[in-house]
Amino acid sequence: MLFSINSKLLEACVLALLLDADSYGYKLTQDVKAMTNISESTLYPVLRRLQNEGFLETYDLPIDGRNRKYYSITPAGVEQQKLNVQSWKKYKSLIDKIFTGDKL
Amino acid sequence: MNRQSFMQKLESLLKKMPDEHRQEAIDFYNEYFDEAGTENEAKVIEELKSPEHLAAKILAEYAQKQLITNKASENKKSKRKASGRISAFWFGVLAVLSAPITLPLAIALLSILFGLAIVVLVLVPTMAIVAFALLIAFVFSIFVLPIQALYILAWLIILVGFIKLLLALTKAGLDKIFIRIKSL
Repeated sequence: MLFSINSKLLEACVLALLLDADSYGYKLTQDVKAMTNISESTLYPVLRRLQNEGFLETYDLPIDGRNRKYYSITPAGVEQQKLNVQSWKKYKSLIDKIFTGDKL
Repeated sequence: MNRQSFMQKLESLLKKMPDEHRQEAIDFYNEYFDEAGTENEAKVIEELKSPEHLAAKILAEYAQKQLITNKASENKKSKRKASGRISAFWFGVLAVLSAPITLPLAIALLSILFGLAIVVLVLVPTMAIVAFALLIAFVFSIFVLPIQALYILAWLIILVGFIKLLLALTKAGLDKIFIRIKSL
């Protein structure tokens, strides 16, 4: 992709994925990679940040004799994602206006 | 580089982090390798680039978090300072309002301190002079009246003891007053 995705957008993408269903580190990373084709090598710092801000919770689920750490979105995370979507819409329409040459 | 050496290197690069945070990161990547499966081990290592690259990202995120929490605690501190200032303000108001009672009290206290100072200032030199006289008397009488000279020596020692006690008490009292003044 020509334009890079910054860390805030990446956080929003993760929240969007988790709105659908809880997920775990490996799957989230693969999903984000498949969707955005980003060069980001790991989601760990992003997930840590979201967790620190109280937007994500984790729980362990045993699978094949080991633990899988699942991430789920918190009510605060849902609220944050609403703000993210609003903010993105504003940003998008601003860029659209610039690109189409409409008056701002 | 295989999974084991990758993880060992990563762990050593994260040794500056607190144990629980480091362990969390190590757990995450161990799980990541597990989920990817042994057949994808090389691919995962390629994706993650290098332990150095990964450690830099993890440490950067951690450092940023530390910065935010430090700022938050600094804010708390300055808030506490502000509340200290408010109580200093009320202290001032109280001081003005209670002036009719505290002013005479303060004058009385100062008079007592002044009296004590005079006593110490007069008593100490007087006692010192007497002690000096006793010393001379002792030196002269030791050859003539040895028994009486010992009495004089006894009084001399007692007097020196008193002088020292008085000086020590004065010093302790002054120190206390200075500490009070400084803390105000």
